[in-house]
Amino acid sequence: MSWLGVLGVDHPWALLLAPLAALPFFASPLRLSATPSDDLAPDDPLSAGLGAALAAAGCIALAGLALGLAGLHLREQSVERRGVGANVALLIDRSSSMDSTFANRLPDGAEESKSAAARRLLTDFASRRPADRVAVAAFSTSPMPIIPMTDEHEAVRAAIAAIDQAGLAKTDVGRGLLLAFSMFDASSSESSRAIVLVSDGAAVIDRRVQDALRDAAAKSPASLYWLFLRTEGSKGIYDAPAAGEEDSPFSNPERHLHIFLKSLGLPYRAFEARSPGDVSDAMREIDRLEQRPTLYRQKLPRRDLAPWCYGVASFGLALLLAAKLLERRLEEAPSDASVPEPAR
Amino acid sequence: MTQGRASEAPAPRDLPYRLFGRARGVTAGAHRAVGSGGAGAFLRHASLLELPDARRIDMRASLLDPLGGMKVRRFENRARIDVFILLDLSGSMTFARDGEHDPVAELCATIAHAALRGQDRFGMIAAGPKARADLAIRATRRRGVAEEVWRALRSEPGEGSGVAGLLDSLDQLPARRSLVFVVSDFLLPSAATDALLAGLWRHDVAPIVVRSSAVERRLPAFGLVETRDLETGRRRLVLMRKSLREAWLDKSRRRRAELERIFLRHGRPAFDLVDRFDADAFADYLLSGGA
Repeated sequence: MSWLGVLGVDHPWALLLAPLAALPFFASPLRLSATPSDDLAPDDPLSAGLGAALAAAGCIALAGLALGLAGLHLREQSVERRGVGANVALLIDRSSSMDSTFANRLPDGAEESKSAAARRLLTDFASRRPADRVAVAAFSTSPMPIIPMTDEHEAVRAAIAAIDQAGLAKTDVGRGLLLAFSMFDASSSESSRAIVLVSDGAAVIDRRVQDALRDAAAKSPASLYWLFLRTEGSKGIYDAPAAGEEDSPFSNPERHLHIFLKSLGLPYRAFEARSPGDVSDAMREIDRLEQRPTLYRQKLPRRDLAPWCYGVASFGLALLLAAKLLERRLEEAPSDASVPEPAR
Repeated sequence: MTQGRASEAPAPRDLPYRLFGRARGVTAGAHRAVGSGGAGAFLRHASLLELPDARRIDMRASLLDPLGGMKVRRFENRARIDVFILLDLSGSMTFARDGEHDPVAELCATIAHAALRGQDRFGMIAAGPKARADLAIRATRRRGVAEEVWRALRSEPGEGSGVAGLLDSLDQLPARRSLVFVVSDFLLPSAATDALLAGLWRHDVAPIVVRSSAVERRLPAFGLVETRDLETGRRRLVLMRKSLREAWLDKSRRRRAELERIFLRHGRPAFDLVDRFDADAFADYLLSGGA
C-alpha cells in the first residue's frame, strides 16, 4: 500500500486497457506457419527463450502504452528526514528605525541599513542550515505572521527578503514574542526550538502580555536569542542607568526587556550588535548553539512517469518490429531444393 | 470444393501392384493364389491316379517317368484380392492438402481405380482419433468408387490428434490376406507406428509416408518462424539459423531412417509421397517392391 499510494494516474479509464497486456501470451504478432507436428523442429532453448521474450515485449509494450495513456505519475510526497538543526522562529522588527543604518543615518552606498544587513545575514543563516524548519514573523505596531513553520527554504528566503520593505511606526515586542511562541507546531520537538528576535529597540511590555508570555514560555519552552541591533547613541541592554536616573521600563525599555526575558526561565542569550560584523558573529554563535537532531520533512514534487512508460513501450515495440521484420514462413521458403532428399 | 477442382481427378491408370505371398480366395483374379487348378501358370505334375483329369495328361512327362506313371499337369490358382487403404485423417494430415494439389486424394483415387481395373476389390478405412464411419468403404467392385474417393477426400481435412481410431478400426479389415496401403505422415511415436503395423500382421502392408518438403527440406536460411501444430494448435517460435537448420534437417533424416527400420521389420519399405503424387514413381515403387 505504501508504494501504491505513491503512484497516481490522471485518466483512470485508460487503465481499462491494461488487461490487453495479457494478449501477447495468447496471440502472436507473427504469421503462423502450420506444421504437421511440433516434433519436426528440434528443441532449441534459444528459440524458446526468444518466444518468451517476445511475448514479454508485447506485454510490456501494451502495459506501457496503457499506463502512459493513463498518465502515471509519482504523487507529490514528503519524506521525513533526520538532520542537525532546529525549529527556528525568526521574529523581525519592522519598525521604521530599522531602515536607518547603525549610525542612525539614511542608508547610502557605503553603509547598509539595519534591515538590509539583517536580511542578508538571516538569508545566509537560513541557507547555511538546510535541516532547519523556519517560521518568520514580523512585528511593529502589531505582530504579523509571515510564514508558518516550514521546510520550504525557498519560501523562507522570500519571506526574509520581504522584511526590508519600508517599516511601520512602533515596536510591540511583547505580542510579537507571543506570536513567535505560538508558531511552534506539534511536530517540532521541544529540545530544538529557538526564537531569534531581531530588533533595534524595545518597548514596554504590557503586564497582561507579560503574563501571557510567561504562560507561553512554560507551555512551549524554546531557546531565546535576542539580536539587538544597537544604534549609535541609543541605550544598550546592559547599561545600568546612571545614579539618580530613573530606572523604569519606560526610560530603559531594552534593559528591562532583557531582564524580563531572563526571568522567563528559558535558555536565553542576548547579542548586542553595533555593526553588520557583530550581527554576523552573533548569527554564527546562534548557528553553533542550535545544532540539535531534528526531524524535518522534505517535499518531493510530483514526477511524471508517462515518458518512462512510453519509453518502455517503444522498447517493446521496437523488439516486436525487429521480430516482424525477421519473420519467415515455412510455406514461402524458396522452392529450389538445394538440400538433397533425405537419404533412406 | 469447387466443380473445377472436382474435374481435376487424376488420370486413370493401372498400377502394377502385387500381393506378397499367395492370395487366399476362390474368386478368380489376377493374383497367384494358394491351391492348384486347371488353368493358369504351370505349377507341378501330379499322378493321374491322384487326380483323374485325363484332359491334362502330360505325354512327355509320362514317357520320361522311369516308373511309368501317368502325369497330369497342375496349374496354380489365381484369385482376386482386396486392396485396402488405411488412411490416417488426424489433424496433421491437413498439411499441404489445401492447395491445387491434394496428393493424398490423388493417390487414393488412383489406387481405387487401379484396383477395379485389376479385377480386385477396393476398400477404405479412414480414421483420426476417432473412426470415420462416413468415409469407410467396404471392399467393393462398384464402378465409380474412385471418383467417390476423390470427392470425399478432397473436401475432408483431418482433425484431432493421434491415431487411436485407426488402431480401433483394424478389425474391420477382412480376415483374408489383403494388400493394405497405410497412408499417413507417420508423425507418431515409434511405439504407435509399431503397434499399428503389428496389428496388420495378417496383411501385406505397403506404407506410404506423406511428407512435405516445406517442413523437411525447403527451410528458410534465417529468420523467425512461428509454427502452429495442426493437431494440438500449440504455437512455437523458432529462430531459424544455420545450426538449427542443420539440426532440423538432420532430425528429419533420422526420423525417416527410424521409420524405415520399423517398416522393414513389418514387411515392405515405404513409398514417400512428397508434396505431390507422381504416379510413375508410385508404379516403380510397386514394381520393385520398394527396393
